[in-house]
Amino acid sequence: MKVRFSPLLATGTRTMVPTLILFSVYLLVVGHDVPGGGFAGGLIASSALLLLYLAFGTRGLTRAMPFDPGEVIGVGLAAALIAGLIGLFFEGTFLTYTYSSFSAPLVGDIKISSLLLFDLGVYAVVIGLVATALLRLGSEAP
Amino acid sequence: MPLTLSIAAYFVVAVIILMFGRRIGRAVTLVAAVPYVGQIVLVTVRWPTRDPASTESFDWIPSLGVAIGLRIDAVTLLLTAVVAGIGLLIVIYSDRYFPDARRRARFLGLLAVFTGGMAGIVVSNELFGMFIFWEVTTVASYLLIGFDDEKAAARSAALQAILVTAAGGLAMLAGFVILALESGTTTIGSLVADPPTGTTVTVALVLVFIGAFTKSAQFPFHFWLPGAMAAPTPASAYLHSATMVKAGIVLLLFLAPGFASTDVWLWVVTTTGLITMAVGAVVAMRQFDLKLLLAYGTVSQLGFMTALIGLGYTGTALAVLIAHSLFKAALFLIVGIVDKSTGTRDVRKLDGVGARLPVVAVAGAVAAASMAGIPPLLGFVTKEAAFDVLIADQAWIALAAIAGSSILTVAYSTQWWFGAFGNQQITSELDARPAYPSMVASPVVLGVLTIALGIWPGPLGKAIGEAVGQSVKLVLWPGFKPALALSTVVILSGLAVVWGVRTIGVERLPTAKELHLPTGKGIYAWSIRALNATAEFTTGVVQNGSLPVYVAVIITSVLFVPSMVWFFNWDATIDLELWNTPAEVGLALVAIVGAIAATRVQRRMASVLLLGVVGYAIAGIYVIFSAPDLALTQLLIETLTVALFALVLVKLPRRFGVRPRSLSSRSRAAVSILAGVFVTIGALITSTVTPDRSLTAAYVQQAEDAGGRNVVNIILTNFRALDTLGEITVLAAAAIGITTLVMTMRSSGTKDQA
Repeated sequence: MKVRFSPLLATGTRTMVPTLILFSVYLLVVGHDVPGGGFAGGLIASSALLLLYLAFGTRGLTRAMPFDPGEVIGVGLAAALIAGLIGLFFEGTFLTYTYSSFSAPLVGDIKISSLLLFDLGVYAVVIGLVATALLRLGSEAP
Repeated sequence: MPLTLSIAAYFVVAVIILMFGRRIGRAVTLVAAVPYVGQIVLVTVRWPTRDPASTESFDWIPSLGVAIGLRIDAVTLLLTAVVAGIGLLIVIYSDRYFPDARRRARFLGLLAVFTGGMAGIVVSNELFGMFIFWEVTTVASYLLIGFDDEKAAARSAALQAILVTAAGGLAMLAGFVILALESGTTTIGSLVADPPTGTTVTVALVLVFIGAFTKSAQFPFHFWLPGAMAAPTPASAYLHSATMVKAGIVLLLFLAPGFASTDVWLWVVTTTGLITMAVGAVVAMRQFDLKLLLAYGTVSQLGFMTALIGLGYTGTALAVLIAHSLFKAALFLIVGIVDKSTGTRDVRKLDGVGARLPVVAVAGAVAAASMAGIPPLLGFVTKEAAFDVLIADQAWIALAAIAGSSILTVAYSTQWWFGAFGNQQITSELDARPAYPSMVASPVVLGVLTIALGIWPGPLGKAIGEAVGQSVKLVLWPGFKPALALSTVVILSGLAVVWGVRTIGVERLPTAKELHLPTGKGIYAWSIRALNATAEFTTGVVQNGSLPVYVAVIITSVLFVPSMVWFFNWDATIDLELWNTPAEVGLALVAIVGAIAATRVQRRMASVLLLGVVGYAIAGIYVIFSAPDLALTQLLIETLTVALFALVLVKLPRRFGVRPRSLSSRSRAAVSILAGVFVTIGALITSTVTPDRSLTAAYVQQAEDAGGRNVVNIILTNFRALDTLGEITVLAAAAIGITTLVMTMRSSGTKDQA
C-alpha cells in the first residue's frame, strides 16, 4: 500500500525544518547567557526531525538525516566526556571548564569555552535519542 | 619521569594497535615491540647508576592521599627486565603464532595493556597505585583467557579467573586500606620500614594474603590457573607462567622486609606455599595435555616461591622466580610450537616429534631440565640455593616437603619432555609441519639464558642480593655439601618415579578427583549457582512484566519515605495565598479539567492528548512566574512526548481495558490519589517556606563567575555537570533499550502487539 503524505504538511515542513535547525543551534550557542542551552536546542532540533517524520515517513527522515542516530549518541557522550577531561587536564578537576575569549573583526568579542563542547554533547544525545525512537518505533512494517 | 613514560608507552601503543591495528598490517608487531624495547633500554641505562632513593610519583586523588609512586632500585629494575625481556620474546613469537592479521593485532594490543599493568606492579611504591595496576592485569587477563570468545569454554574459564582474582583483589584492597590507616602511610617503602603491629594488622595481612594467593594461584584458589589454559599459548606463556601469577609473589616480596617476622606471615604463607607445591606436583603427574601439565607445574613452583618467602628467604625466592620465568615461558612456547605444527597437545597422540623438530626438542630439553633442577642450569643453581638455606637453618619440615615435591617435579618434567618429543610407536599418522624460525627463536634465547646464568650465576646472585638486601649464594659448584647430596637423591628418585609410573601406566594413576584433593572449585561453583538462583528469584518478583505495577511500586516508594518524615515532624503552618494573577486560575482550571478528563476517556490517544494539555497549562504557569527556560523545555517535552506516545500507541489496542488488568481500578485510583495528596501537601509546605534570597544572589554571582548569565543553564552544565553527564548517559541507555526492544520483537516475530 502506498502511503500518501499531505502536501500541505510537506510544504510547511520544507520551510520549517531549516529554520528550526538554525534556531536550535542559536539556542545551543547562546545557552549560558539567555534562555536556551544544549537540552532545549536538542529538543528543537528533534521537533524538526519529528516534522520530517510526520511529513515524509521513516524513509524521508532517513534520507534527510545524514547520520546514524546511534553514532550521534556516541559522539555526544564522547564530547561531554572530553569536555570533562579537558577540565581534568587543564584545571585539575573533572568537568571544570576552561575559557578563552578574543575579539574578531566585525563580530565582536567571542567567548570559547569547553562548556560549549559539553552542551554540544547534550544536544547531540537528545537528537540521537529522539531520532532513534522515531526510526525504531515509527517504522511502518514490523 | 622516564620510568613513568616507559610504562605509559604500553598503554599508548595498546590504544594505537587496538584502534588502527588492521591498517598498520604486518608492521603491527614492530609497533607492539616498541615499549618492550624501550623498557629494556631503560633498564640497561639505569642499572649502573641504580639509586635506591630514586622515585617518581604524582598525586592521583590528593584529597584521599592516594598517589601513584614508582621506584627505581635494584629489585624493580631486575623485575622490569624480566617483564619487558620475556614480553619482547612473546611479541616476536606471536608474529607467526597468529597468522590472521586481525587476531594478531587484537592479541598484541591486549598484551600491551597487560604488560603496562604488570610493569606498573613491579615498580610500584604506593599501595593504591599498585592496586590499580594489579586490576589492570586482572582485566587484561580476562580478555586474553577469553580471547577465543566464540568458545563457551574460553568464556567460562575467563569468567572464573576474573571472579576469583578480582575477589582476591578486593580483599587485598581492604587489607591495604587497613594497613594505610594503621601505619599512616600509603608508601610501601615507609610501610615496611616502620611496620605497624596488632590484631588489626594481622587481619589486614590475611586479607592481603588472599589477594596475593588468588593472583598467584595458591591453594585453595589454584583451580583458576589450569582453566586459564584456554588462553592462546603465548598469553599462557607470559601471563600464566612468567608474569601475572608472579604478581602475588612480588607483592609478598615487597612486604616481606616489614612483616616476614610476624607469626601470621610465617605460618600462613609457608603452609599455603608448601601445600600448593605438593598439590600442584601430584596433579601434574596425571595430565595428558602438555599445557595442563605445565599449568599444574606452575602452581607447584609458585607454591615453592611462596613457601620460601614465608620462611623469609626473599632472595632465594627471587632467584627461583627468575629461573622459573625463564624456563616456564620457554616450555609454554614450545608447547605452542608443537601444537601448531602437529595440531595436538595430547601426549597420547604425539609421536616422534623430536626427530622432526630437533631444535625445538633441544630447547625443550634445556627448559625441562632446568625445571627438574639438573646441572648446569639456572633451575639447578636456584634449587640448590634453596636447599642450602633450608639445611643451614635446619627447617626440616619445609625441607622434607620441598624435597618431596621436587622429586615429583623431576618426574613430571621428564614425562613432559618424553610426552612431547619421545617415540612411542603409535600407528596413527601424525603430520608435523616445520616451525617458523621466529617462533623457535624465543624458546632458544630463553634456553641460552638458562644455560648462561646457570654456568655463570655470580652476577645474578649479586644483583639479587643487592635488591633484597640479603646475601644470596648462587653457585654452580657448591662443593661436596649436604645440599648437593640432596639434589642428587631428588633427581635419582624422580627418575625412579618416572620408571615406576611408566611401568604402571599414567592412566592408572588416580585422578585429582579420586585423590579427593580439596580445592576451592566446589565453593566457586556453588557460589555462582547461588548467585544465579538469587538473581532469577529477585527478577521474577521485581520484574513481573506489568507496567502499571512498576509505576505503582515506584510511586508508592517515593511517597513512603518523605511522607513518613512529614508524619513525624509536622510543624508547618500553612498560610495560603490563593493566586497572584487571574491567569493562574485559568491555567490551573485547564490543567485540572485536562487531568480529570484524561482518567475518564476510554481511548488511549485521547488520554495522551489530554495529558499534553495538562503539560501545556503548567508551561503557561512557568511563563507567568518568569521562568522562560523551564517553560520552553516543558513545551518542547510535552510536544515530543505526545508524538512519541502516538508512535507506540498505534501498536496498542485503541481503548483501555481490552486485556485483563494486572492491577485493579481501585488500587490504581488509590495510588494516584495518594500521589496527588502527597504532591499537594508538598506544594503547600514549600509555599510557606520563606525563601532565602541570599541563595539566589549567590547563584547569580557564581554563575557570573563561571562566565554566564543564564543561571539555570550554568547550574545544569557547570555546577551540576556530573548529574547532567549521568542523565545523558541514561538517555543513551534508553536509546539502546528502544533499539533492543524493537529488534527482539521483530526477530521473535510477535505480531499480536500490532
